[in-house]
Amino acid sequence: MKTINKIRLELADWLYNAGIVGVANILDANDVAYKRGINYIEFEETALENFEEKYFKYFIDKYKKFTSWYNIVKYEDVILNFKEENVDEEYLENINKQIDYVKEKLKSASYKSAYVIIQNKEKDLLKEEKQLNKIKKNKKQKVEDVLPNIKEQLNRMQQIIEYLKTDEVAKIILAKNIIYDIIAKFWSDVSFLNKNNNKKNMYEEYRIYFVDGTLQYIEKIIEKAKYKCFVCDRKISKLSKPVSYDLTWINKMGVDMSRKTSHFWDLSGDTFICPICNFVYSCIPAGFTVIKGQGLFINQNSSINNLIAVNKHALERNTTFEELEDASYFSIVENINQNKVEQLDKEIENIQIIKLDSTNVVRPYTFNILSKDKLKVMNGNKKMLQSMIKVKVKVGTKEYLNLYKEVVTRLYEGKNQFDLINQLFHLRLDKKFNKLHFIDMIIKINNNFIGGREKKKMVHHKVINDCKGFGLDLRISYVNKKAENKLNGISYRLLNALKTKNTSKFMDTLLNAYMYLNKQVPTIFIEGLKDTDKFQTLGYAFLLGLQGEEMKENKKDDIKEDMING
Amino acid sequence: MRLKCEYKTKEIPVGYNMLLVSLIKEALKKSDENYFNKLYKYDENIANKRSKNFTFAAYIKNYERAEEIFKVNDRVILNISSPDLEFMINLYNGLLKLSKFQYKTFELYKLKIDLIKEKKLATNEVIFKTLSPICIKNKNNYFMKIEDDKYIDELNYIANLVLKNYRGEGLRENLMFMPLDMKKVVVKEEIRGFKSKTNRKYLYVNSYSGTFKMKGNVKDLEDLYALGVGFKRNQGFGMIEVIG
Ligand SMILES: [Zn+2]
Repeated sequence: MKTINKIRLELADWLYNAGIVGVANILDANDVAYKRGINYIEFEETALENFEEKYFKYFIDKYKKFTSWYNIVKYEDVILNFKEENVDEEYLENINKQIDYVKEKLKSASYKSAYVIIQNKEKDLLKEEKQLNKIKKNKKQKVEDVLPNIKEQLNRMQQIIEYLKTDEVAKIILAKNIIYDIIAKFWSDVSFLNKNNNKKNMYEEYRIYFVDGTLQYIEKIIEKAKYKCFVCDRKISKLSKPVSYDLTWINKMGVDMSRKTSHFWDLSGDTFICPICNFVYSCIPAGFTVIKGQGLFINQNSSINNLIAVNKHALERNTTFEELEDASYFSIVENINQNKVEQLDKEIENIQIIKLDSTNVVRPYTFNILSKDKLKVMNGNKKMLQSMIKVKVKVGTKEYLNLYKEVVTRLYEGKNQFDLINQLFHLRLDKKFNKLHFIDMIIKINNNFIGGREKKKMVHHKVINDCKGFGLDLRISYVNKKAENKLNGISYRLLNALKTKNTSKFMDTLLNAYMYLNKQVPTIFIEGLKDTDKFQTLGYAFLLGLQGEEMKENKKDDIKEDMING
Repeated sequence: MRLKCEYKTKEIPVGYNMLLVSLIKEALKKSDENYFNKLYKYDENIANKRSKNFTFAAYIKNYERAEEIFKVNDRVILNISSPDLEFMINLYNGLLKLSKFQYKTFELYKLKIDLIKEKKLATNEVIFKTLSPICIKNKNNYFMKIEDDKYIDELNYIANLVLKNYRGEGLRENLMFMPLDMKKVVVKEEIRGFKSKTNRKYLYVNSYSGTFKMKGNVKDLEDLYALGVGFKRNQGFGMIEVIG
């Protein structure tokens, strides 16, 4: 009986790890069992049977909705729901736009190269393309006059869609889409990405180049072989394909890769890797998540489970890269096991965040480090941060501020939030923002952040709440005195004093405000006079209370929102 | 920061500075006893004579002099200046609580408190006027004449000390002092301790009021504008205002 070989892939540098996550993702998507160790995955060689199918299935499942194939096919809804009475100028314009799009795609090089591969020749899409034409209507004509033509063109499109939806056609065209949109951002030159193989079946090409060699290799690893794989140290007997491979086909890795701590090479071509590693590298695109040419991989390598979990993303058609990033940061924090707080220090490692920008030919990859300290703050403020996800604040006619992003970015960059808090207050005073409880959260998160760096700069939460209370009291007194109209002016002056960290200007305004009421000034502020961070925390908390009334009004909506986000 | 506190009273002693010092202390005590003790006491009963970061000046509106008192027809106005916000908050809170103040037989009733806008100094040369007279002493504790060659040295000495006390840093640049229209004022001051030692009821403080020009580092001038100039600032001397 033949023994079944096992393949173990151990974590290494980020690039290799992306490949391992890719392999795991592909296996997961195809319900293939494999073992997850702490720092490795292990699977039987049978997992590689039909791996080419599994490989493309993974990408197609994940990215289908982003492809041109999908853009063409999803129009079926419109066609099937077509009703003559709904047709108007706008509707016609929409159809024509779609016709343009379909024509452009059908005659594109990528589609043309797919036609050659497709066995099902039932339809000639190039001919179909020529027959599909925009609906022309002169000025004298009404929409009704061109109805027959509309129906005809929609019918043509429907025929095309039906053909595109057949299994084989979909499989090939989607694979072409995926290769172009995703895989080619990471590697080139070999297998189906070799120019000579453009018109060959990509599934075949993948199997031949990446899978067959691996299977042959694991059948007989020669322990006495002369050479070693640069990445995994497995023995290799020859420095030529299909026994060993170079790394020149992997797209530029950027400057950071030359650091000696990383498993790295000089890309000169004399570095050789075994077929297994070659296979792993082919799965890098499946380890990243890519949206519109931008890719993200988070090298949280404290364990395989974490690594796979933080890189798992459910994408929607309209998911933006920014949202993807936000969600990832959040899932990093989610993945920190916080059952045992005392273990937090051990458990949190610095985490590398690798971003791919495929439009940057010279340095497509950029690297960021998420430090322990920052993660701790994130972890400690998880709930508040979570409620900010998807909260957008309008700051210009078309400009929006993504609150979560703003806060998290500052935390990651080790900056305080005072500028953001100030900006939000300005928007609030200009009546462009009223979700005051978010300002409250940001003040508290920021206070925790400041306290995390220097304990004595932190203000007790009770003191923050007291300051808010004083602000609210002052507001109520002004309202009772029918002097509510003065509050905006006071708020603006306080806000400007806080922005410039001018304590005397702040106290001046405060004293004036209290004097007007013949009331004492809360001495709580004296504590803040000794430290600008404290001063700002207390000052903004007071200012928040001073806006009090609206805070209550909005409470209901806010709770609802939190529930949606939470 | 500058506060103006107005009081209604029938009369006030001619040497009213001690009454006002007592009023200020009472206000601070009312506001925060700990703060008051920190400021005025070393130990339980030992006075802290270290100079404090404020100065004041009084103005009596519509009065008649009668022997040792002023008969006040309108009101007494107390102006207090300090760059020390903690001091000013405590002072304000205390003055607010103190609607009636009794000193010996004198009774003062608070009318209102206002905040006075400070002027912004833009140049290193400023013309000031005194709100309360400036008093300069030499090392031997003699009140100095403004004509004295050493007057400006002693003025620099005390300015340096006052600044150091407040901000930890003394004068950044030497001060130039040019009297424009300064007149000698003798302030009659009643001090219990003084009386017992010398058997005299009053201390006569030689000082000067009027207008003068001062040149120096802008930040120094700003802080001195708030803290006051010269000796005995905490007893009603050396408060100044920018003119022009
Ligand atoms: Zn290898």
